[in-house]
Amino acid sequence: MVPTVSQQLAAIRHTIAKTIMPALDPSADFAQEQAGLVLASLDWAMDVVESEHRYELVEHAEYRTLLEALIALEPGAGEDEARRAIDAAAAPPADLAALRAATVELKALAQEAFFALTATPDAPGALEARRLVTAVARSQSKRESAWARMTGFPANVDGSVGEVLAAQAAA
Amino acid sequence: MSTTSTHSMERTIEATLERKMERRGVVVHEAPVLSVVDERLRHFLASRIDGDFTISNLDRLPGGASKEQFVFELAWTQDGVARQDKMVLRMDPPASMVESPRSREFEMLRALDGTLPVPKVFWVTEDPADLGAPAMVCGWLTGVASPADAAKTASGLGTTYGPRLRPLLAEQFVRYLAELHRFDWSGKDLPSFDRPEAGTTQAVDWRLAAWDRAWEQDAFEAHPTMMLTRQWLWEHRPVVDHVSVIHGDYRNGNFLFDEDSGQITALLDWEITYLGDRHHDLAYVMTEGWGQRDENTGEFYCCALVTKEDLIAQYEEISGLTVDRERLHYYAVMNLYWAAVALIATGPRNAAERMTHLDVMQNFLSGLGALFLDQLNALVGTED
Repeated sequence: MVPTVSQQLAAIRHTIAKTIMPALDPSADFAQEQAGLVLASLDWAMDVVESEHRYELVEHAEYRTLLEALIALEPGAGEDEARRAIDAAAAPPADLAALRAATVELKALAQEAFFALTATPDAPGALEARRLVTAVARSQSKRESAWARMTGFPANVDGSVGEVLAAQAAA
Repeated sequence: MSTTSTHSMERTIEATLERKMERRGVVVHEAPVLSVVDERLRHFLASRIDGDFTISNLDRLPGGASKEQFVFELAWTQDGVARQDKMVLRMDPPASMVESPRSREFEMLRALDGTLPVPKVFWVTEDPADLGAPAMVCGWLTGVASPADAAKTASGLGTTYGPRLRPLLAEQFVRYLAELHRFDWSGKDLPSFDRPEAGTTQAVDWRLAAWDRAWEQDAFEAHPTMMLTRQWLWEHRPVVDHVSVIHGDYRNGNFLFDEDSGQITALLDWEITYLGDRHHDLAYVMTEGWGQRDENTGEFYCCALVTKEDLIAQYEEISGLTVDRERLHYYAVMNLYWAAVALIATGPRNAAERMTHLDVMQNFLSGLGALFLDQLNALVGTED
């Protein structure tokens, strides 16, 4: 595959920095501001693009496990749909867009199960549901912080997103 | 708790959120053409100004993360007096990171005129037929948002001031916040605001309902931190003991000052303003993401201006209002929640739907959302 997405992004960035930025009217403050953000965003995209598929795979597996654990706490309404999604998730789609769509569905089902379990805060299973969701939230935050590290905002970044995903996949 | 919020919210906020959904898939942002803006502005002002007027030097303004802004000079006559004013046209793009009617901002700035250093407002319209979008015209105020030698940041987030300006600005920053919260709004003309009752959770309920609705409209996918936070916020709602005017986005980068004298010349960005609990603004000022740690002492300065203890002491003395640490904690969570809604749901959604003039910035700021989500996990998650 030539050029790769990474190669394309690098070429776009070089051209903007080398040719387009110097040609901008220095007094065009709004355009200058946006051009700077375009370059920063390209740096961000180049930092993560090679890891996008792996990111989705890790998240897909994590939410399949979460959904399974949540419905095990209190099988009830929505269980059939959840079971179908869990079974389908045994073989993650190879296509990135389909993989993402499958993960989004798992997340939506996990949310429904969580709100059902915690509707009564003291109900059996509510605390355990919160514990399960907290663990996934913290794991996801590690990925998100690494993913967005080039924005300069996240603290507690454990390396590149590739390194974080490798550590999470190995755990 | 349901995945779909059924709680009530302020009427004008609900109408604004509904209008956003009506525009989605129908309207995309188009780069403004100055000659068109000029023509619309002339037509708009012709129906609001008696006599002749001229518009000159219309230009686009940079900065901000929400509205499209233009500066112009207006020669006109008001009450028989010839005037020459520099003005700002503040327009809604098809979608903003936080949806709010311009009329609310207009009414509150009009109510606060003469009490706090706020832009003088002249005209407002919610009718897109007037200027192409809801918009308001306000006076230009001199000053800078950050010192000349400070690093420029997106939307002024994390602006720092240095050792000379910090104490000068801090005193005014705290005093104006205290004066805002003790301001008697009860007799003011604020038709776009619903008025919550003290001694209830109405103000909190309406706010939460609005953020929940925005999340449901804009989020691309469910998020575990948002699930935990939403539930925590509804379960722990505090009663509002005293209903104050809340700025909603009171922080460094959202005021102008004179760099030589250190005088604050304008408090800006009132689009989130509402009537509610003062702890909302106080907790927002204390948000870790806006602050700065002193290089020498290691002490944390809220909004890079004032330590937390000094802030509370000065605020209580000036306002005569108490600061409740438990409510500060609640509103710290609420502030991170609404910011996360704006940063990881609404901003990226606006960019994807091509409804903003700041496509790249609204995606870029999701990095700040990642920080806030991480902080929320520590506040609302279970113990390890």
